[in-house]
Amino acid sequence: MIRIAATPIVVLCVAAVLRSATAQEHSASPRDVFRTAAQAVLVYASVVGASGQPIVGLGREDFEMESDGVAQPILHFAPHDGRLTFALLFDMSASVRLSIPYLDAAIEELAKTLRPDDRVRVGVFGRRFYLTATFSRDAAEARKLARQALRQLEVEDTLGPSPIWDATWKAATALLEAPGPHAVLVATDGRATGNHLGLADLAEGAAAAGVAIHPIVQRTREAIRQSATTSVIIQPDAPMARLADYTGGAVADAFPREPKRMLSAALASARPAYVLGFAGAADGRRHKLTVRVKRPDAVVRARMTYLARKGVATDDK
Amino acid sequence: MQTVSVYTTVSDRDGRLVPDLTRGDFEIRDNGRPVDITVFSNEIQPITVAVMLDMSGSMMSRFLHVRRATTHFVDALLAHDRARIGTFGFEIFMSPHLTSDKAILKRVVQEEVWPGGGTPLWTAVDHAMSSLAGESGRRVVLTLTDGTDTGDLAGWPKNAGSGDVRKRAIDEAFMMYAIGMEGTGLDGGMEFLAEETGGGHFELKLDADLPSTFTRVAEELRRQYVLGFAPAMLDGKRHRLEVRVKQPGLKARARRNYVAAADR
Repeated sequence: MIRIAATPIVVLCVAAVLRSATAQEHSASPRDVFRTAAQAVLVYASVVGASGQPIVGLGREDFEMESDGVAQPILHFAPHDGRLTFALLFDMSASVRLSIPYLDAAIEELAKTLRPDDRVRVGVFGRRFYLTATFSRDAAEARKLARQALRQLEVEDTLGPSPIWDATWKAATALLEAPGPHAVLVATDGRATGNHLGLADLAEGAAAAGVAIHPIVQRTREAIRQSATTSVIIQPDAPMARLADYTGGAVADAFPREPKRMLSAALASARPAYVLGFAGAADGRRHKLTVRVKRPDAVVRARMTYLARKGVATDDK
Repeated sequence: MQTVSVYTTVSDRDGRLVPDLTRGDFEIRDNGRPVDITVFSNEIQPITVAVMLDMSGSMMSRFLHVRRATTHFVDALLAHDRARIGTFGFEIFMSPHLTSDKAILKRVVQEEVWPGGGTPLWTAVDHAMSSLAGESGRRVVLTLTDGTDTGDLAGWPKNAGSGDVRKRAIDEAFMMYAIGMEGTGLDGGMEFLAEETGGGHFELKLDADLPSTFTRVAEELRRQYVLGFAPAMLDGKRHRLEVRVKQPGLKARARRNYVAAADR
């Protein structure tokens, strides 16, 4: 279980989540009216089968929601059309073996799969962080900006720290000015160094803000003998998998069978298929969230926490 | 009036720290001339330290041990101590946190230490000094390594050699500590650097001694005497310093040079 880290980032989360909740309510246009003193909590979800194949066409009755272990009536349910506001983030540090030509080809393929109602910002990080200033809604523009972004860092920027958590958080908060759902697709090897935030800080903050993190990782697993009886397993992508689970994201392979599809496959996986809503608490605190589907062969990807607004009654207009 | 601070470790013949001396027990010589000791403290000193962990390929088999021992060092810090964790191997990184918050330091050790790569030792030490450059008072770089420098980090903006590091450490009054892992010994340059800057160096007979050696370093830093004197002239030159303890059988360890300029 990822523990909540008590850091100043919690204060920043509150403002971000308020904006996020407002943006999500307007974009989802829920038909139900929440006439309680609690906040409407929207949760974007995907459902996948045992082989990872998406399961679509489910109905409200197929889902269950719990908050802090208590069953919650699902007051809003709708299939989601798949549009996405997302950041595409590339870890350019030296340990990551994603070459610019490889990424150029993947971006070319990704641009073909963008929807007209998608919004995308592209970023790179190493010692420095760069993110395109505005959202791109045009495939040609996105392609051009992505390629420019890949070339923003100098060699020296790739030899220092890899602040994956900080960069992902910056990208996540940059999305919240636009309507959701929100996602960060981050291509990295998972060797995080030089961060202000910890993994738990990022996970809690992103999940509370409703931003799903989708790592695109180089899967490596190395067993290093420490003694005659002990080995340590070095698996840098493992924390990224926990991050994805907690925020409702999914892990994609940085070197799939079809390399060109690296990014487009990750994006397809990031598009949620459903949006659910329930009446959350009104105490300004974080609450656990569990979304399940009543099928033994299926797994739900949805965030595992939300931040309740404090004492605000909301009506759908 | 400019005062030159001289942090001094005193130990007996058996290497035990001697913490209860007074001003009158010390002598300082500046370029061979005795000077008046105008500042003296034998109170516990807070630590400001950058801990650099060698994570090169040859250290892989010690990865877990180093991580646990560093956590042990963090636990030994007191409320007013501050530390920053860094590593070198594929990359050189320093955590942005220079802090006394043990939860943060332990989190860095658990989440941000990765094995692999070469040993850009001198560049890493230079980078550690840069990370403390804005701090006042005693600034310590503690390096844990199993070997010698393997050369520049290709593309790094400012690779440093042993000479660069030695000059900077003396000119900017950094204190160097070095711990060499079992069997490999320390780079001779690291030993010399530690002695010149009034720090210390330890070569582990057994890797298992690492936690106790970390503790020893912390204790030394805590128990150092702070001596001070006013240089006769601020000529901008490097002066030879010598600190002696009058009691027989005791050994004083302090920096051997200083630059007689303002704010040094």
